Amino acid sequence: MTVVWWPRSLICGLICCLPAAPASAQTDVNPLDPFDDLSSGAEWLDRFTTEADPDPGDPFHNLTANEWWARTWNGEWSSAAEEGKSFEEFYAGLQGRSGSSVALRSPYPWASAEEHWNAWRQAAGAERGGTPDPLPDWSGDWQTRTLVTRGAILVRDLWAGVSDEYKPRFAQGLQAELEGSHWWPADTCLPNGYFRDGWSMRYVLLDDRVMIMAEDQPLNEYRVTYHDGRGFVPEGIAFPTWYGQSQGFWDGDELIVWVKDIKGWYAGHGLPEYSGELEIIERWKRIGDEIIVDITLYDPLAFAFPWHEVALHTLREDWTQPPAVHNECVSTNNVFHDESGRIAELGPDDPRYRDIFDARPWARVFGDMEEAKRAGRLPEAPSFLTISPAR
Amino acid sequence: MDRKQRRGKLAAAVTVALAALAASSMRVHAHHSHAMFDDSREVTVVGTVAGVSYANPHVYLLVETTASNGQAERWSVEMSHIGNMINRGVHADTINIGDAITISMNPLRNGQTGGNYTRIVSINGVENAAEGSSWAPSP
Repeated sequence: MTVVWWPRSLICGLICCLPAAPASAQTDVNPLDPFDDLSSGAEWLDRFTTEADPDPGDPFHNLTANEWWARTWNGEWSSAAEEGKSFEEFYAGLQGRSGSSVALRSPYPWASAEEHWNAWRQAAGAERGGTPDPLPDWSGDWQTRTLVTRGAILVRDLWAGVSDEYKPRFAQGLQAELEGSHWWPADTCLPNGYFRDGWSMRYVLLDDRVMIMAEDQPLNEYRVTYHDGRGFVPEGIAFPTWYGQSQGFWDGDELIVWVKDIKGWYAGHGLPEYSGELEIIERWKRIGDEIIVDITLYDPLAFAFPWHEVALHTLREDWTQPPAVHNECVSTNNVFHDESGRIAELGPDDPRYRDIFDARPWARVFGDMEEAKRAGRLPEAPSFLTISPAR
Repeated sequence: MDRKQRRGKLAAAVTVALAALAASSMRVHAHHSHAMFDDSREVTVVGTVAGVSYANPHVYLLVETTASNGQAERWSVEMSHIGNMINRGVHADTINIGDAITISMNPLRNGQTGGNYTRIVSINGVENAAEGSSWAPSP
């Protein structure tokens, strides 16, 4: 049962009165060899970028997913309310600037990841399979860019791609962002999940696996794709994880990957939820100083049709930024959501404040234990050194 | 419209999209919304640095000060991530414990003593010669 707490007028605007707009035009791609005539990443992004005239009747105000959060994330609604504006006035002032969107509908004829995988596996053939020798060179530091999952898509196109069952959830998330109650995984140090993974990528290619390390802040992320034919972990011992499990095969210098057992998740940022039924087919190829990834997302529960996404990883000059190192968010985080669901942060005098400047937090824990023994809350336990003095 | 024509027409749209993504590259690294900060107000704290956490996803300062009522206060000042801080001239050794600091911030809406920094006014009496959130000691 969905908790319906957002204004009835917005629900009507979003659910009842939506035009049955197509998500996007079908994009022409050679389904069995999509990179056949490709010369650059820009050309690939171009192929899936669409133009859309601003629609004055768009209940999402011609906003892209990126604009949806970027124009609300400073608490603009709270400030507007303090100025005496109504929510209707505030929302009327939010109008999208972009006339471009992204082709969301998969250009491929397959209905499931398994069908897609089998078609590409068969097309690759035995003579084109196997591990290339030498392996492609994917060394260096790479910066990631995507279209759909970084919010370049109009919200109305996303809406058309969400299943009826998941539309109320999407509306709830969009409403929360409008009101400044953003819930992003990383704000409480949870993984971003598949929709917003990979800020800064490094790759390790081995004979049996490709390891992908996203080492940028706020969190490290890590994926392994086995391409030695071992297959997936069998049902019964497989379990859902943030980035799922992957198997792959090489078609020449192109790596095809099937990802499944992904934990259903929500990334905020104007994007909808995906379910635990999400399975993904990726096709990776390096062209010049770019690695281009074709991504098809099958989620029969959360999506109205199979989605398509593109990723472009661009090789960047080393040491132009601080080196990516192990990042975590827990030790420095005092961000939380308060009893009203609003994003908030604790000040240093709040008893719940995490002392992020304490270089030896364990010593404080040990001190608490000693204090508890003195107060009788823990059983007496003298120092072992008084029992067996060190020599 | 054939594929070539359509691609040509879309090239400008792609350029716009990529420019927008590049322009938002600093935003996309934010790990939380800033709705908890009141960006319509700015407070300036004069005090002593009692803690420095030079780490991702945010650099933080702990500043001890005395409020107008004479009570001691501690302010938690959230800054940006390390990449942004370096671009703004704030390195790991720029601010140290014990430094006298004057720093401005958008305060927390919940009234707690914390905020999101907007400008380092001065460090140890050296005024900031940079615009906005960047730091450059005055000559």
